[in-house]
Amino acid sequence: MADYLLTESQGPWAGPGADRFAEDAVALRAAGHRVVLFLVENGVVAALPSGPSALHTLLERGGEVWVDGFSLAHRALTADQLLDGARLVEMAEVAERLLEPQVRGVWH
Amino acid sequence: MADQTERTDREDGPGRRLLVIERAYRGALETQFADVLYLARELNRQLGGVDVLLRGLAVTFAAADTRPAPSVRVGHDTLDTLPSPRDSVRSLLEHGAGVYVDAADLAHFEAGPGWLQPGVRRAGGPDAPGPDWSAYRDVFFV
Amino acid sequence: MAQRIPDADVLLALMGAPHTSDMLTSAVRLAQALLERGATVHLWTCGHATGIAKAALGATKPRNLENWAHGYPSTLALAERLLDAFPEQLTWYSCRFCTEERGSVPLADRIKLRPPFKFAEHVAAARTTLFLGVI
Repeated sequence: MADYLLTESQGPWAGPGADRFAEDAVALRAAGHRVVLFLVENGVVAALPSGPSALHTLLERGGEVWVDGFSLAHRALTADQLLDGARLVEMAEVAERLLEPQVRGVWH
Repeated sequence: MADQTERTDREDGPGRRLLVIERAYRGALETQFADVLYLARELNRQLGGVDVLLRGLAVTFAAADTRPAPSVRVGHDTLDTLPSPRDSVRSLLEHGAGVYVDAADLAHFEAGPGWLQPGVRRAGGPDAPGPDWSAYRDVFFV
Repeated sequence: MAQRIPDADVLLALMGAPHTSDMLTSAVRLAQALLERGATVHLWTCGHATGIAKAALGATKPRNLENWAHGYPSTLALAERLLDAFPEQLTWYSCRFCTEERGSVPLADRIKLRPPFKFAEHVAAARTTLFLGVI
């Protein structure tokens, strides 16, 4: 079992790529890997209720969804607008996770 | 080649321009003050008036949110001059620009009454049609 | 003599062009957070990202017409702030091909030019590599 830190930076308004990446996260989780999907920049919009259904699936299957507080604030959005289960984080926590020896990072 | 008189008429003639912004939040660190809304303010000044239509994620530029733009720690310093789009929209309105937001896109982000800045107009639906392109001298996607 | 690439905890390969997304903002925030935790970080720029640290940028951006007296740091100045603060932990490399192709020469003195065919050595020297943006 591997440990993944997947970063979505583009978000659903940039095209279908964000949905596909969220589906990649679900597939990794379904294969038994530990998955954190970190939403940053315009990617934070994916954590609104209108975002890709794959995020709900990921959370239901035990994956984690992290949302960058800095990016959220810069886009005039607030934590209470996020889907249930998404967690607000700062970059410090992301850095610490990335430095864990077993973690593999992918940035989209 | 067009003569000087013709070019002058073209540049100074009547009619507003419509600016459509749909690609939002690009290059905060490198752009700082010089974002797309800075361009819009300058076009408003130079061209004698513009209207701005915000689409997609750019509709959040028109939020009433008064939180300051976040700052970034860089080395031993803090950079506190990132773009502040809400302030820029307020400035556009103060300078006479019309600001519209796409109502369908706004629905993804609007969190209750008062979310939108006063003076910003909703565009979309039978009661609030969007800006009529044919009424504008030019339409620019910026 | 062959150059040995020092080991790094994280290699951030900046492939995307500045001004087209918040990639650089995220890269700087992540690098800062990693460095503050004692990590060693390599930054590698390709494509138009090589222009982030070109010498011609100088220390400040052009004047803001609406706030004439205020100075705004250039991306070069921000790169140098990072390098000044973490001289032992941060190394900044730039792809020679992209630097020349995209007109980013000359770069600031502290940016190390590297041939693109040596990129694999940088990946091998880092425990984790992230590609940010597309070239």
